[in-house]
Amino acid sequence: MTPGHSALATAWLAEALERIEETGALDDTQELARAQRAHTDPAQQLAARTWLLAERLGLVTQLARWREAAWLLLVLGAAAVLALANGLVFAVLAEGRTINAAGALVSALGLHLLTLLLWLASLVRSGGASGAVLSLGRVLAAIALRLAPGRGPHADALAQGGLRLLARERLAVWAFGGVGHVVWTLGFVFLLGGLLWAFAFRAYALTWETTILGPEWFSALARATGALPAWLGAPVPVPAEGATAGVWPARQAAWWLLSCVALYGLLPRALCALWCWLVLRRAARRVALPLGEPYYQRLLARLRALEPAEVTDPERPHAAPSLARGHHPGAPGVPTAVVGFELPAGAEWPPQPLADGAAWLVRIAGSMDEQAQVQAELARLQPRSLVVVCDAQASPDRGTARFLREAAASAGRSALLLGAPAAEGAQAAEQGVQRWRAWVLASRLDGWRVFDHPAAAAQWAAGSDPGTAPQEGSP
Amino acid sequence: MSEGVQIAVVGHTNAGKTSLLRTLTRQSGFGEVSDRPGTTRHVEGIDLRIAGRAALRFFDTPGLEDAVALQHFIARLPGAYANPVDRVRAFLAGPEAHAAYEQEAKVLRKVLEADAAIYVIDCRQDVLPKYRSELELLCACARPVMPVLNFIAGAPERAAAWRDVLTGFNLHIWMQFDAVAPFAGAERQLFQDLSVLLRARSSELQAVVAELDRQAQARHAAAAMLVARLLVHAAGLRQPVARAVLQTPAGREQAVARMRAALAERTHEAVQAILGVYGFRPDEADLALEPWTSGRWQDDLFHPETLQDAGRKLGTGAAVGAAVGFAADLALAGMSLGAATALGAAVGGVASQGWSQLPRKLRHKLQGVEELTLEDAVLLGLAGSLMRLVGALEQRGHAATKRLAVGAQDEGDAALRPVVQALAPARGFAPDVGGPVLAASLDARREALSERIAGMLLRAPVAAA
Repeated sequence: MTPGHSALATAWLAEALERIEETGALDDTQELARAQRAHTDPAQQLAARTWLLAERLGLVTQLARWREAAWLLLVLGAAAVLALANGLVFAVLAEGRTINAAGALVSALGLHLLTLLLWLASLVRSGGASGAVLSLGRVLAAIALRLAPGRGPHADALAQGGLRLLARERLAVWAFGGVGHVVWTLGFVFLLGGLLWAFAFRAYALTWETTILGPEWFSALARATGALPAWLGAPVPVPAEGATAGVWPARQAAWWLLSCVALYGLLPRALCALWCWLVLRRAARRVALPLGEPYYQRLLARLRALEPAEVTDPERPHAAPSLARGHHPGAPGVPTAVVGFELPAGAEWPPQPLADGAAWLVRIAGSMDEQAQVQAELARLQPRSLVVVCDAQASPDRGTARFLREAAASAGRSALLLGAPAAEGAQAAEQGVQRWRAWVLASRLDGWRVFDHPAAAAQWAAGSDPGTAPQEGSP
Repeated sequence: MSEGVQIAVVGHTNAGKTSLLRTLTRQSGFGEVSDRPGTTRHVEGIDLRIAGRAALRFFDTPGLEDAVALQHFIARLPGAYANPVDRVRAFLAGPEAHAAYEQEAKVLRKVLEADAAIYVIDCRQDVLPKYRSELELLCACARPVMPVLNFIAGAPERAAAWRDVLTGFNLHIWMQFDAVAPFAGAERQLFQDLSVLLRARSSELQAVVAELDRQAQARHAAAAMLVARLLVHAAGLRQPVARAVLQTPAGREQAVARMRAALAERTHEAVQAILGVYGFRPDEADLALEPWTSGRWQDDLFHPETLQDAGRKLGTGAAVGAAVGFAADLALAGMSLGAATALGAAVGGVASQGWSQLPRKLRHKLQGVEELTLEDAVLLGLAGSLMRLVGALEQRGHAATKRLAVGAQDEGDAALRPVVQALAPARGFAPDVGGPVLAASLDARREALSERIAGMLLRAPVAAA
């Protein structure tokens, strides 16, 4: 990770950039190149690109603005806590100095247990990929984002990116649930404080009443719910036998109510909040860009293409070798010599009708000894016309150029005949001939004619030049 | 040594050294490749990095052009030398290393500096004396040499002659390669063999092999994911059309054309993304994927014969759909079929597509609106074409300049039938109008289906185009 940039922020910005790029490509050539130069590790390069682009597009500023507006979330959360605690206290202490203890317990814990179960269910069902749409945390976050001041042009993409990041990392349930748990925890703290204050300084009658249930149901409820508090030392109230309404022992019932709210309300919510925080903290540290995603694979391929190639041994141009012509125009020897040079095994040899008029015909594979023999013989024969036959499919090289220069020094005039095996296609043969022609020009083999047909070469050797342009010898 | 294994890539001029390097480094922009002899005239280094560290450094060298004369020259150098390497060093220190044989000197100097050399052979050529001289010179440098028989596809019979020669030079490990059309596993084999030659650097080379495997798998998985997401999108593509409009041929034609355009745009995006994943430049796409960009493939894809053929393979009654290009969604429609068939289709459709469809379908039914969806045969054709494209890109060397033709009609598509069947739930997904198609979806069900489809695509054997 780039120093100074948290992994979470990088992942969030990257996700937002991906959203923006879905609507059209960003021109990131410069950023990609800078990132490529700054780091060697591909993951770091991608992180650097993310920050450079995010900086340019104002995403970083937007993120900072939101961070500053985090108090909004706090205010909203506090409001939610107050509303919740108020509702809870009201549910318990609504009826003046008498409290319907069982009813109060159910109303204090009912909604909480229901939402807690829903949260656990979404945890199991989606594995944390997406929380319930109407979860308290999500609603609070959405309102806070909507109310936050200074919305930049890419605020929506950033918000969506955040959502997608949470979904991808399977954190949505944890993040939104965590907010809800904190709100509930604080709500229960307020409720317990309110109840403690009320029970400490006021006398309440804790009653029970029923229409359809028997008193044994209430004692069973008290025993069942009070088992855990009793284990910790809290008393379990027992209602009077036989009646359909009555009064609990007040002190015992008050402690039972308080301990039940603490153990079944505050404790699970606090534990869940802690759990969420631990999961989120761990996730925030290990969150990384999903390099396996097609989007990142494309970027990686582009980064790889930017890998610089380094020239370690540069080209130093120097003069082409020149060779003094050892040939004397006044003393020509035999009329025509034909030399096959580095021809493939399948080449047509001798090439008709060129061979008919040749005074000397030889074919060599190109070893140093063979070359020396041919040069010696050419120097002795001093042919008026020299035709060197080469394979059009082979790549011309400096070795060939050296041979041609040396041979030309012994001949009156010289030509290159390019033979192509019949097996190759006409197009490949034509390409080969073009390549040789370009090479003859580039290698400054001055005075060399190039033919791609034996008949044309034979006509030229016999004395009548079939071509007009210096290098265009084809009929 | 933290420098990474250094490998000089040498060979006769125009043997395809730069092409080989383009393929090995997956950089179609590296160096300069042309038919012109001696295109590369300087030594150029390029790294193969693992997690940012240069694990391997290749050097592209100029072609050996006059090995015959150079070998002769070196053999005749005056003085006594303990071994051939000293003789080569004496040549490199002399004046001819900067004059007549400058190009060759660069090559030999690099080979002496490197850990090993890859000798690229154009095996369309006969074994001429000049190649023997090149081998002599390389062997005189006393570095491990790995011959690579390039362009093997063009001349399998000459390869045997080359192998005999190589054995004669005591080079018993060689590699067959085709830089333009590399075959699967060739790259891997090359590094495996190199690690045999370079026993001391074996662990580093094995790490390269592992990294290359990992990268190849990541690319393949990403490409399959792109195809899967496109297929999920295509399966969920719906276009409501008033029944009255559908009954006129012109209206039907227009509706079909709109649907086609919608699919074509998304498919084009997917093709571009797949090209990007494999590191081919987008500007290569026009050149390389002419049938995909010209719109011809769409005609192939929607061609009645393709549909009918695919329908037969699928075992669905695509004959109706074939006439239109796609079937009007049969559930609750039943325009041309009997009531019983329509009922059966409705039940089947609802059962396979989920009950969430029902309210919308009822509403459309009441409003007299038909929904056009893509026939299974179109999905099959699309899946087949895209996976063949992926297969072709896997096989494609980064030195290739020929066009890549991937058509919609092929026999191999039958293997993808389970994929199309598994796409059934996608027909029930809410349409993603204008939203991102190729990125991960927020909808967990949709994403899970995409992942499942991608997994099936990865396992399905599809022949490359």
